[in-house]
Amino acid sequence: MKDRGLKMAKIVLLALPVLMFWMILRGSAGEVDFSLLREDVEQAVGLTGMKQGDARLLRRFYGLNGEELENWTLWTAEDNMAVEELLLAECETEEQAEQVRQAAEARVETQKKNFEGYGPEQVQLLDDSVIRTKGTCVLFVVSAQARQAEDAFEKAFAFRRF
Amino acid sequence: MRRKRAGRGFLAAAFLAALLVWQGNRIWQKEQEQFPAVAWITALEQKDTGEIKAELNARDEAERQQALAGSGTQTGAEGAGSGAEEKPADRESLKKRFGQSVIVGDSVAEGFLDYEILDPSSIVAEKGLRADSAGPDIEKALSLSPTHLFLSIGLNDLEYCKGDSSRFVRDYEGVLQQIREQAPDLPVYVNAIMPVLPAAVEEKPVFGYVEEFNGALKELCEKWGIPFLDSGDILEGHEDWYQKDSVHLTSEPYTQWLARMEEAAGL
Repeated sequence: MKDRGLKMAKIVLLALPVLMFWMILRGSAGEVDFSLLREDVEQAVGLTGMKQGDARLLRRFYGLNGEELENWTLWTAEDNMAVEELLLAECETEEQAEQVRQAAEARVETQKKNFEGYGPEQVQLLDDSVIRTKGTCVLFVVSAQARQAEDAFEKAFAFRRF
Repeated sequence: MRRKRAGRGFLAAAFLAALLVWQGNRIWQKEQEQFPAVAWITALEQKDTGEIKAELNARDEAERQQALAGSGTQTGAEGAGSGAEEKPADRESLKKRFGQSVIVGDSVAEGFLDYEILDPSSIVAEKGLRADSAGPDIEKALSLSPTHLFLSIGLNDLEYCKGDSSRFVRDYEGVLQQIREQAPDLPVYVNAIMPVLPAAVEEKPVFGYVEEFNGALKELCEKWGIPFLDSGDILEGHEDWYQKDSVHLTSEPYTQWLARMEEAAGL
C-alpha cells in the first residue's frame, strides 16, 4: 500500500515539472500584454507616412478576418508607391498564428511581384521584411526600421518569460 | 496482485497528467479553431467580378428608377429647365456613377485602386504599363464588357521611347486600333500624361517630354475622333499632392480626376 502511494507520488512529481515547463513554453507567448507589445513595436517602426488599416484592409491584403483574431493592429503606407507595412496579430491558437504567418509571406510575394522591375528600393525593403512568430503572436514589418521592430518584439517576450 | 496495483497507480497518474494538460492549457482547447470565414471569402474571390458588378448595377439602377418615380415629374422638369444639373462629387457618388466603366492604365492609374477610389472591377492597371505592351490589359478590360473605356498610359513610354513622341504615338495608335477592332462602338477616352515635378525631370531628364508627348497624343486623338482629357491642371499649386518620387500622386487628386472623366463621358 505504502509502496503504491510512493510510486504514484514519484510519477506525479516527475510529470509535474515536465508539464509545467511544456505549458510555460506553449502558453507564455499569449500572456504578453498585447497593448504594451503593440506600443513597443509601433514605436520602433516610427509609423511616419503610414496610416492605420481597418478590418476590410486586413481582409483585402491578407485574406484574414479580424474578428477571428484575439488582437491585431495594421499599419499601411499612405502612398501607393510605398511598401511600408506593419501587422501585429495575437491569435487564438498557434495554428491560427501559422495561418497569419503564411498570409504575411503571401503578402510579401504579392508586393514583390507588384514592384519587381519597377521599384528596386521597394523590392529591397520587401526583401528585408521581417516575419516573426512567438507562440500565438505574429509580427510582420516592411520598413527601414524592420530590425528595430523585430528587436522590440523579441525583447517583449524575453522580458516576460525569464 | 502487486503488479496489478502498480498498473492501476500508473493509470491514475496518467489520468491526472491528462487532466492537468486539459485544464492548464487553454491554447490546447482552442487548437481546433480555424478561420470559418476564410472559405466564404475564398468562394467570393472565385466569383466573376463582371457578373457581380452587373448584378450590383442592375440593383442600383432599379433603386434609381424607384427614387425617380418617387420624386415625381418635378425633377425632370427642373433638370430640363436648368440644363446642367449638379451631380454630387463625393467619393461614393463618383464610384457609383462610374458604374461599369473601366480605366486601363499604369502605376498612376493604379492609384484609383490602391486608394480605393474605384472598385477593382473598374480598373485594369499595371506598374510599368506602356502603349506597346498594353495588348493583354486592353483584352482584359474589354472582357469586362465596359460601357465606357478610359486610357491612362504614357508615363513609362517616355523612357521607353527615349523621348521620341512619334514612336509613342505609333504604339498608342496600335492600342486604339485594337479597341476599335474588338469594340467598334465603345466610347473611348484618352487621358493625358499627368505632369511631374521639376525634381523628377532633374533626376530623369526624359520626364521633360511630358508636354510634347501630350501634344502628340492630342493630335492622335483628334485624328481618331476620340476625346482627349487633360486633367493636369488639377495638380497646379499642389506640390504636396505628389509622392516623394515627384511623379506619382497621393490620394488627394484622384476624386477630382475621376469627376473630370465622368463629366467628359456624361456619366
